[in-house]
Amino acid sequence: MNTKHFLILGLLSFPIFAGEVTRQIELPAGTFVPLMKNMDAIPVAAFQLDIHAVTNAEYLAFINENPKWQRGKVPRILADEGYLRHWASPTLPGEQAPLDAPVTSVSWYAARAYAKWKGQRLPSLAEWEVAAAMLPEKITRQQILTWYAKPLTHPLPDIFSTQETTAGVWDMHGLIWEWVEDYDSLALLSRAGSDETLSALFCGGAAAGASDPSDYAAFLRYAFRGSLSASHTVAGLGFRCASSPKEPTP
Amino acid sequence: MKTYLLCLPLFSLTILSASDACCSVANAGEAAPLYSDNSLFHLQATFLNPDGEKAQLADFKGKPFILAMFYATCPTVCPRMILDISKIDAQLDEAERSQLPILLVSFDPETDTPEKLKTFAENWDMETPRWQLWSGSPEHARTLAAGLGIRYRKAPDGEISHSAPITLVNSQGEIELQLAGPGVDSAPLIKQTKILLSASTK
Repeated sequence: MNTKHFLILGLLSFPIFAGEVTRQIELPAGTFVPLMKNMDAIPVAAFQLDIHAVTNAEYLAFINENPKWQRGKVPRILADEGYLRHWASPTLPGEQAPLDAPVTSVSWYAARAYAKWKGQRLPSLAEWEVAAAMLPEKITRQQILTWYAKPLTHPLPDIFSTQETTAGVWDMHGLIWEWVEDYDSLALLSRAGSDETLSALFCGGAAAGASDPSDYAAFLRYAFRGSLSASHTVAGLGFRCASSPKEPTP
Repeated sequence: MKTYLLCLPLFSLTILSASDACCSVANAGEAAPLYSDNSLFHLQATFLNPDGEKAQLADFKGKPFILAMFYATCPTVCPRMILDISKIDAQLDEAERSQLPILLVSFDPETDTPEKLKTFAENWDMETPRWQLWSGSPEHARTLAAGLGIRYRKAPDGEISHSAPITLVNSQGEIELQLAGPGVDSAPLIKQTKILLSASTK
């Protein structure tokens, strides 16, 4: 570790990071229409969603308070060998992980642990999709596809660097992929319990089973999520938190 | 990566680059980890047994056990899976059976209360407490399902689509062997169960 690293480390220990609260936007109740024709629409209750993905700085604050989630201390069943691999050290994000860029290479278990630490949760798949669909009119599906096709650059850009939805949520497309609570729940087609959905949609059956074949970006998200296991870490996969409205006290 | 992702023709998905760092070695001077890296005992998931008492997988530390997830109102897959587990159980001799806990954890804790699971076990004539039926929170059910590689989705009408593997867990909490679901040849699992039970009683 050189002098610069010590300087950064000193800055990171400043309480601004630990005390900072990501602003959440309340999204109204809605309905999520799954990509697959044979699935019922899913009602989504009103919920709150972070306006941006969790950053490296925020994740560092979590690790500082929860050292068991440092790289090198997490058992493989909870995060594979790629966990935070682009960080300079277990307690230092470094040049490849700018403080205001989204944290990536975190497992579903790690993302959930962070959300729990914040007193929040991961959004459900339906919540995430409803929020992501609130695009301004100027954004076309073709533009989203173009974002998805573009290789990631390293280090990742900062949060607030792509587009804002009409609800005020940033970077739902074009910055990173994001974990959701039930990330693989739509990878099931039949009620007999077989994993047929994704292969039917992507390997030949293709758009025949889709409610909206033109939404090709949704195909990509579903395929990607269906390929994941909870311990997986991926260089472009991060997360944001959600919460449910507090029950009114009687 | 599963085959259906490989079927995507258009995109390079460069984010799926291979991992290049390994970092699970305990730091010098630290106590040895309580469980192995792949032990299900690491999962932060707490349940309730039929008596309403707190229970977790690590309670089984030191002995192999059979583990599956189900929900009591399942009309199709779960009854077949439970029958298959019963058949596996019947293939063991009495001494082996007495040493083998069988744990069924509910996907649907909001419906499957401990009381209802108690009734369910009675209706199925399960040998309790060797057969244990646990309930908990939706969060913890999903934690366990993720650890077992089980996918499930609750439809708006309450029915749950799910995969239904039957898992043999060893005394350290590691997945020893997993049958994909009902109807799969259970001979390998029976054989391995006997091996583990034999080793654990020596």
